[in-house]
Amino acid sequence: MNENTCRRANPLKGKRVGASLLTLLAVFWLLPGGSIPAAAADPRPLAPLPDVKMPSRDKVELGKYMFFENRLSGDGDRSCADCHIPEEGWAFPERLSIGYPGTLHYRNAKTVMNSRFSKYFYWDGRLDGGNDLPTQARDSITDSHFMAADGRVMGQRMKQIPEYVKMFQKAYGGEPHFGLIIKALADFEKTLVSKNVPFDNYLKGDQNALSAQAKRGLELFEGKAGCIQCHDGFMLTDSKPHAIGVPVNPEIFEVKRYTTLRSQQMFLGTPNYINLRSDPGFFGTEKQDRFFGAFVTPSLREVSKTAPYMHNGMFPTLESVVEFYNKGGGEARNKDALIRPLGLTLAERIALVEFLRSLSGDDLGYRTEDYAEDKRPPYELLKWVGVDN
Amino acid sequence: MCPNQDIFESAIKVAKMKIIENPMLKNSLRAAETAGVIVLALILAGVVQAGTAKKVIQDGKTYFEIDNELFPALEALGPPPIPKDNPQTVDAEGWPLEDDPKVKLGKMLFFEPALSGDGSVSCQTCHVQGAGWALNSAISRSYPGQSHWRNSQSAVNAAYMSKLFWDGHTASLETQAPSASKGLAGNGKQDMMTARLTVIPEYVQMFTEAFGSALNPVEDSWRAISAFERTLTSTDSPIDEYLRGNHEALDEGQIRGMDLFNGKARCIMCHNGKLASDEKFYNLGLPRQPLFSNIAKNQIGFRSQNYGAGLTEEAFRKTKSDLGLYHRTHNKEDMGLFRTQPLRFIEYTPPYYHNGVMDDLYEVVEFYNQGGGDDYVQEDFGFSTKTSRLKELNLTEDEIDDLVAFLEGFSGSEILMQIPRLPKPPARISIK
Repeated sequence: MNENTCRRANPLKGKRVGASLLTLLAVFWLLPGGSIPAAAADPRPLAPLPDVKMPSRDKVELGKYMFFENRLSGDGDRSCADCHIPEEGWAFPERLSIGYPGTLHYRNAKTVMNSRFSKYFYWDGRLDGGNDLPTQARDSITDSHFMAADGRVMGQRMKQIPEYVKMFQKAYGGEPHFGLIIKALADFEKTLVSKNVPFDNYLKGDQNALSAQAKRGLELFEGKAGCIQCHDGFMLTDSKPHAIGVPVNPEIFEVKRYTTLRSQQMFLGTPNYINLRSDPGFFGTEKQDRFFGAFVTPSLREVSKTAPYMHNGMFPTLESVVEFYNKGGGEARNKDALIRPLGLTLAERIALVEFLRSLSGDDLGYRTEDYAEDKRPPYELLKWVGVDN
Repeated sequence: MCPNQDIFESAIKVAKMKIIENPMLKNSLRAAETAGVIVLALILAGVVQAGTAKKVIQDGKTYFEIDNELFPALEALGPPPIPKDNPQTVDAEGWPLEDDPKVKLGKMLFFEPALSGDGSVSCQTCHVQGAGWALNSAISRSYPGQSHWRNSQSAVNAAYMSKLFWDGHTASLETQAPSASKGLAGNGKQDMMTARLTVIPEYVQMFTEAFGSALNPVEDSWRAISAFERTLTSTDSPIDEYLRGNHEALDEGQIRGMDLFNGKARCIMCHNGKLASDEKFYNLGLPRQPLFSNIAKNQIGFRSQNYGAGLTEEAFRKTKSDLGLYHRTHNKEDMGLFRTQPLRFIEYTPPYYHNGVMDDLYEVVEFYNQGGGDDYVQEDFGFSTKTSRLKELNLTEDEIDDLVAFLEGFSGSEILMQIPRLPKPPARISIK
């Protein structure tokens, strides 16, 4: 992991609760063994994705290539698209992600769809999101378990590809260097926004965009099932950490995955990182015991395309997720008080899943094979003596 | 300063070294300075000439004099120095013991690929025991997908050096190892390497035995590897034997070669003392390495290193060959300078020089015989940093044979060992 890349994020910043409630919460938090209280006491209404400005075509075109470019990893074997697979909802289809050669990950890769609206990045919310997509790109390219690259080398690799040099010049008016590489990635990711989402269309007034069952699901989402308490706002997330008791995935004890867990938690400075028996989640970011096993609420946009679910991929389907919540979640010492048995009938659970399916938009049309190695420009020998480097 | 004046002042320096303690002679020195009587200075210094070399003995130490400067004679190698902050056990004569727990651990770690980014590169990857603990390739290896830019040097006798790497950018074995492992060679990252070592119980036990804990296994790996490297010494060369008093160790041709080495061929000016290296930096006017103008990936490795070293814009744009010491100092006069290479074990470590442009010792000697080559710094930047020590030597073919024969005498027996069995992690980790 690049020692320069860890920037603290704080999903507790900017709480949307009243001052008096804040005090009350603070008192409550100080109680030993107190669980995390309702973060969204007044959930924000659900809303369609906002209209946003897209970067220029030249930038996006370059960023696309960078996203699929495996030469941006240390040994040239990993690209962003290896874990954020376009055909898999820009996420990873297995419970736990792969990693840099010689490593395996201990978490499930999140989708990069709509990441421009993310307040915090990663399951443990360790990076600020919002307008800072390049920082996320930088971390993933340089972290030892993702792409393990040296940014200084990456710039020179891209300079060895004349076609890219032209594209950098056209897009950013300069020659390739690491700062522009992560900027191009961010500019491409800004275009990965859900398109023609049934739920958004419904909110914008198209009553036929949702089936009757999905409408019933929406009602449950905002009511009896209480999903909106954490999954609120237009991104359907409060961007806050919660422990809900997802079972430990036993695969994390496979040596390569556990090595990554230990490596990353050591880097984050997690107390007692050497003896972890489960993923500490937000505890690794904030280091307060009450956050052990808490993870930042993920957005539900595109959720039907990003199975399996949760930070460790423990649930293969939306049905199994809803079933988990219906039973009142799992066991966790910091379990959120909001997670309790819901008493949903089978029909209600089916309706809820139907609603969740309405949160995915059209396929954006990217195909990994269109950016396979033989479709990307190769390194070329550059003229040497007598020419400036 | 004109060159003659330079020579004169050097001569005075020689004389001064000898007579500085003697007030009676100070007047003579002043006279010499005033009159410029070089001969007088040389007599005062007590010069003995036999063959082409001028031997000077001062305070019981032997020097050779060239261009009115004194250079310490070659000496047999004793045990390597051991730093106080990384102790290891030694025998009565001071030689490091191989059964020290730190050395045993270091030997395993030297072959351990866990100490790299993707777990595929170990020290041995570029310091291959069958290739003189170096690499039989002009340019060394890098991690998969990347290319290196310099020749790999032998790990044998690195224990004696105070300037590691071709530009001398580290001063100890303990700092050399991480620079290679984390840099262009290994792409290792501290956090991942730490985790990889701590999931192997056998290593945890060995680190605890050698260092008292397994809490800093990566830092301690560099210490252990260094301790192992202090056992990788070659001190049984014919030249070492000869210097210890066994005059049968070198044949007649080699003895003639030694005289040339110390005299006419001017080798001793830089390759002197115990190490056969003054560990100073020179530009010899070496040829460019064509592998950089011919192979795309090598160009990436080359530029990356220049970019990473923080070269000035002008230097980064213009340089087409390795700038050596300049990478550390960013002084223009250091462009293209590289540390003098020690000569022991060279028989096993071709090709030679920082860019591996020469394949054998004949080629090397022929290069010096011509007074070195054209300075690529001159070509790229319009000024030369080539050392003035190199001159056409006018060595005859017989003399070249003798000199090469002598150089071959720097290599003792090859160092080969059984690769240690490396412990593997369990398939699954259980935390109690």
